[in-house]
Amino acid sequence: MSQSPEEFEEIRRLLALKRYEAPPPGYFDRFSGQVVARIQREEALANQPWWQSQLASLGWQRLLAVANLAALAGVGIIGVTLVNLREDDLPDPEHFAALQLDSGNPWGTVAPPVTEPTSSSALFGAPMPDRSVGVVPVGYTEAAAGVQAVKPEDIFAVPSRNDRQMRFYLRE
Amino acid sequence: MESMSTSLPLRGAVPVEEPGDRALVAKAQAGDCDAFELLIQRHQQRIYGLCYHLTGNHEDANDLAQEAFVKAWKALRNFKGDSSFYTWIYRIAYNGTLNHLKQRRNRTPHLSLNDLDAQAEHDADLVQLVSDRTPRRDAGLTELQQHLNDAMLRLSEEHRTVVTLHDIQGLPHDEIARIMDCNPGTVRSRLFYARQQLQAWLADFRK
Repeated sequence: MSQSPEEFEEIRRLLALKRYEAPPPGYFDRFSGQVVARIQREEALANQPWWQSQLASLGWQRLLAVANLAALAGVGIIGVTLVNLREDDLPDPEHFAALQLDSGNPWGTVAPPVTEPTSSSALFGAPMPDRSVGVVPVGYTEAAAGVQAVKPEDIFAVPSRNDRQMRFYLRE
Repeated sequence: MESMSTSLPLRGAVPVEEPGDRALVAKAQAGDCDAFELLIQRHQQRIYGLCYHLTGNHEDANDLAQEAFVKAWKALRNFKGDSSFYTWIYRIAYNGTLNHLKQRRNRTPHLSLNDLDAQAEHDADLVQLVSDRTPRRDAGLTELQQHLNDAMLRLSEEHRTVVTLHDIQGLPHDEIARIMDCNPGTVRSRLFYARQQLQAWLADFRK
């Protein structure tokens, strides 16, 4: 590798011109102040609790997006909760017990509460009685449903889908 | 072998072994922010210059130079003084800039400082180059600058660093070797190769 001082003299002179490339006027007057301000800002952030620094780093636009997402999630949770509550919502048994009911129809003119559907195999697999069949609504006792004087052996239960029992009884 | 110091005047630069640096570093290590600000003011032009010549644009150079000093402040307690503060801050800036360049390799750099320093018009070499030595006499400073910048950006990062530190900023080989964490022989060979490349690419301006 031969390298004489003269060999690259002109290149060096050309390169030396680059030292004249300067940033905007006044740039170096402000530079140190900007660095110190940046250091102080970073130290202030480091001394904050973690959640404050997280909030600060998010910025207001991201914060708004996070708030929107949280609101949507809240609405979703409320919706799911309401649906679950409705499934468990059963009519007040005492209300029906207080009604004057005909002996043939325990419900009288009142529409019976909706009972849970049951599988056909469970229903049709049961022994076919020679008497008419009554239904005790889910969540009711026989007394509350107005079913009286039914022998215990005339009552049979069929499991429903939500692990409750749907009870039937044989009318006299 | 070239002489270790060049005749190039280093604008706003401080001597490599600045006598007051150690005292300022000690104060800064004790938490004196004013002392650290003085250190910044002493070295800001060289650090910015290194970042600028490596990245090729003012915005990145500004960010990287600031970041280098912020990192230095954070790591100051670990600075044992094995090297000068000057070498240490250079090394931080160099490594930070290399990382930045690796992350942004697909971004085309552009050396885009609009203004030459006001002192440029008094530089004898510059006047000669743009008047007598240029093949096209109407070639102005901008064209010359553009050719030079294009050639610089064609060099690898290591070669560009060596040229920047030695031919532009006037650092000796030993100092460059410490900054780049290599031996002085490697610095010399990189400098030789880089100049050869530049010479070939800038042939028009040399004839």
